[in-house]
Amino acid sequence: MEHGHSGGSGLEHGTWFHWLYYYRVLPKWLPEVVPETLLVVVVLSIVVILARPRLRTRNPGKLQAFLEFCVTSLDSFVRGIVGDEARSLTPVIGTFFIFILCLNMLGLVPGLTSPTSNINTPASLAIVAFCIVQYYGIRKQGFVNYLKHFAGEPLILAPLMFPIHVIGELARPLSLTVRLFGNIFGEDMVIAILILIVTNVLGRLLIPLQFPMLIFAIFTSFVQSLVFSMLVTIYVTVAISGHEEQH
Amino acid sequence: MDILNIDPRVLAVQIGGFLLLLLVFKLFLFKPVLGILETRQQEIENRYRDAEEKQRTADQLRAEYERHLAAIEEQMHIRIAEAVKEGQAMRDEIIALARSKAEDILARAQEQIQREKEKAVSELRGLVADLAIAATGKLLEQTLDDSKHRQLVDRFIDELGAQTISGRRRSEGEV
Repeated sequence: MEHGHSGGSGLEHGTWFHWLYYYRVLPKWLPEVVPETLLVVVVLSIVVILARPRLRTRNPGKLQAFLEFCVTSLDSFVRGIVGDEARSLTPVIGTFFIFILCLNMLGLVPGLTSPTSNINTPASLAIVAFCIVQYYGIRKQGFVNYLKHFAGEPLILAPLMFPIHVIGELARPLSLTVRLFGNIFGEDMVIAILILIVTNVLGRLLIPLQFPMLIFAIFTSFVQSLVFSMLVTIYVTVAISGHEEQH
Repeated sequence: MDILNIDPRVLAVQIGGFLLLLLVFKLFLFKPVLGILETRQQEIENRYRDAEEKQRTADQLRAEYERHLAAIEEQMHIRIAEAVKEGQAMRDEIIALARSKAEDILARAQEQIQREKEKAVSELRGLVADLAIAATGKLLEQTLDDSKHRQLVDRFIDELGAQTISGRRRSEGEV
């Protein structure tokens, strides 16, 4: 933690991107998770941009088969929850899932951390999710009707119900943020502590104690990205249908 | 915000990164792949429809050919039966013709045999008469009137012939 950037994960221990700060390419306030996130964005973008011209209707290659598997799985996942609105929502939810999965898994690469273990990353994703939910709600019901559903029934209770609903709505991105951040940060902390135990306590006996946790981290990475995507999909469904549900 | 270490600048950068990826994914992954899947599904549906259409046509053609084959087979059986009947009629005709020809030949042969027999009998009779005259003449050394002599011999022969025929019939009856 040579530079006092924000982030709060406590795991800013100098990644492969540390030289960017050393040579002052990036400002000190920018946490190292930002170049890591951008690395994920760039790699994923290059893969899909290069794959685009090779997409064919007949005789798909291995990469296309994999991409088709991902897209169809995500589409059926979203379609199963939302229904007919899935066509426009699948790219959003799919991007959330793939992006969060890659960010979570990045922490398993030696010399890199999970960008989601920095609260700014899940918070930014939750803000986008919040905006998307509001957009779909307003688009489907209209602005006035959407506000009406905040007022609830009967209308006389609106002064009481409106703030409660607004707080409930704002609690969603908060819960999304804290859930994702807490799980990935905790997982990274456990791995880091196990590595510290190996290096400081066991001495020359180099047993990879963190290995089972790394395997488990793959599972939690998948589960957390799935949970985030599923909750966003459910929030959109609720916003579209206009019924309040407790999740 | 400071307590949570949330930095709006970092949030903005991360949101920008996500939106950029969302745009790229939408343009280069989800839209084309979903489009391709839809096209493929359409293509498969069309092929199934075509295949079903072709199957239906093939079934119709097969039924038609089977009908044709059945008609041809029936025709063939009729023709064969007719040919067999015709052949049998021809055989009967040939046999009848052959039989009548054989009967003709047999009748002609019998007639000829009868004629030959009669001729032989006549010739034999003349010869026997001559021999008898000569023998009698020699025995009696006298010459009889030729016409009287011939009448005598003829009667003798007739009697001899009648006796011979009656004797033979008797012997055949005994046997």
